[in-house]
Amino acid sequence: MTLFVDGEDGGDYTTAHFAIYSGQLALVRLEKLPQAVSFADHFSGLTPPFDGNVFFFGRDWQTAPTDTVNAMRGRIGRVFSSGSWLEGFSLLDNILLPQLHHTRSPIPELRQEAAQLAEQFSLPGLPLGRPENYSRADLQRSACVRAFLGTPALLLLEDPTFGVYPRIMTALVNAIRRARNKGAAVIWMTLSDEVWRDDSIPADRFFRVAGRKLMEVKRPT
Amino acid sequence: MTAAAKTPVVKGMPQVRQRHPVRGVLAAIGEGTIDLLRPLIGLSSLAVAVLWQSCRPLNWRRTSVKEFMRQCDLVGIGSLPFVLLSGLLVGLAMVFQILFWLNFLGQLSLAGKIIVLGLVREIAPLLVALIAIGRSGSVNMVELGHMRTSGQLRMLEAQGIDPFLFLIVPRCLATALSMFCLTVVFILVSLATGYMVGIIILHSDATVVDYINNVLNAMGVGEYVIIALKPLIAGMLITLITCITGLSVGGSAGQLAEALPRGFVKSVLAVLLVSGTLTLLF
Repeated sequence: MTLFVDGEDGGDYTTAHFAIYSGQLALVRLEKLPQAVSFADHFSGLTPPFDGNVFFFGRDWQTAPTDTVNAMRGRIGRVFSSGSWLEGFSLLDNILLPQLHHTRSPIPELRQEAAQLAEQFSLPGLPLGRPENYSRADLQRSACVRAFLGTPALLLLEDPTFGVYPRIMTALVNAIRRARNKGAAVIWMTLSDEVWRDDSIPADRFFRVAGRKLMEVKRPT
Repeated sequence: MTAAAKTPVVKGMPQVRQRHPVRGVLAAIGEGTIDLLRPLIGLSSLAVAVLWQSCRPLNWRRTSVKEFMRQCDLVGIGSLPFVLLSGLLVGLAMVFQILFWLNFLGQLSLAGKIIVLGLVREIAPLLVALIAIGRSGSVNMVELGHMRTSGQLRMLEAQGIDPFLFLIVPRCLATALSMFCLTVVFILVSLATGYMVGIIILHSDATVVDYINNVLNAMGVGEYVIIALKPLIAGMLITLITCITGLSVGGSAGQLAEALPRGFVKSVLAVLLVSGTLTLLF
């Protein structure tokens, strides 16, 4: 497929041809943050590819009915790089929102699971305040809590370590391991060379954009 | 074959034709009419979409119900003090004036009819609508405008949450329901205040039962229909107009500043249009 990938200095077409399966972790090295947003939007069917198809659970994002598309997106946990919090809601409401919308899990159970994840990501309890009252690092941790809450089938992580590397690494790698054990596929996009070369990330596959092409490469050394 | 017929025509290029003057006039009238009707048709289709989507049980998920309750709290409970105060002031001023002058003319038996015609049919729904525009309409415009420009709507879509079902449908229904309740409260408060004023200042000897009977006897089916329909329809239109205005705002603060009065004026016009139409119909 051919994707139109944004960049700070305008967009460009990028060819990508890859599939990721249940339980796999793909680490993708990108140059600019807008590239991560573009790829994540393409992978979740928000932006149609310029050419080709993007499938999720074997269904084409572009031909699936709206209700199905929304249900499919409900199975994706995503760490957004920007604009990720509803400002009229508390951070906890933001975290629970996708699960409350797409599942019938009881609220106490969801709160308990969110509290456990919050503890694992070193948050001082459940974040009950408004997003504007939290630091960038706490928001990044909360974004991880939201993404891993429930049983996501796909995790799209847009530079999840931004501003919290390496402090978040242990919690993040553990959360990814648990999610993979439950069958989730993970696409971890990073701009950081340190993360790209971090041995503690148990990635199966490595990708990077080279010459307008998303290419699979060998494990970076 | 003539020379003109041999003139080569470039393939794929549209040929510019001279429009007949009559056709030009008709086209101009048609375009003007379409431009005039487009917002009205758009608004009507959105209102139908809101009603249709709200009838689907699948759309009433916990998030939408919560948003509905939040809006009821914001518009209904939040506006209650203003509505109580307005009802009190209108009761003091208007009902007192009506009772005073009818008493002066010896036509106090007409009080119920005049109060119903003026207060119940026209003033109560209109004032409540103005309060709702100020209280929830402006919030809708600012909030949705900011959500669009800051990428929050896109984030909702990325999470599989349809912003129309999550934000607009619950807001429309919550505002409509809240406005209906507020209108009833406004009418009760202003009528009660008017009665108290009549007793205290005009030394009226009418009992509460007489007063209520007087008002109820002046109420026909049309009045009950109007009390229900005016706030419900106006509430829905106010929300739709302010939401659309908010969503059409660009990124800058200047554009929001321009959109706010535009949304306010459109909402007031829509309320007046609904009010006038329903008054004529019932």
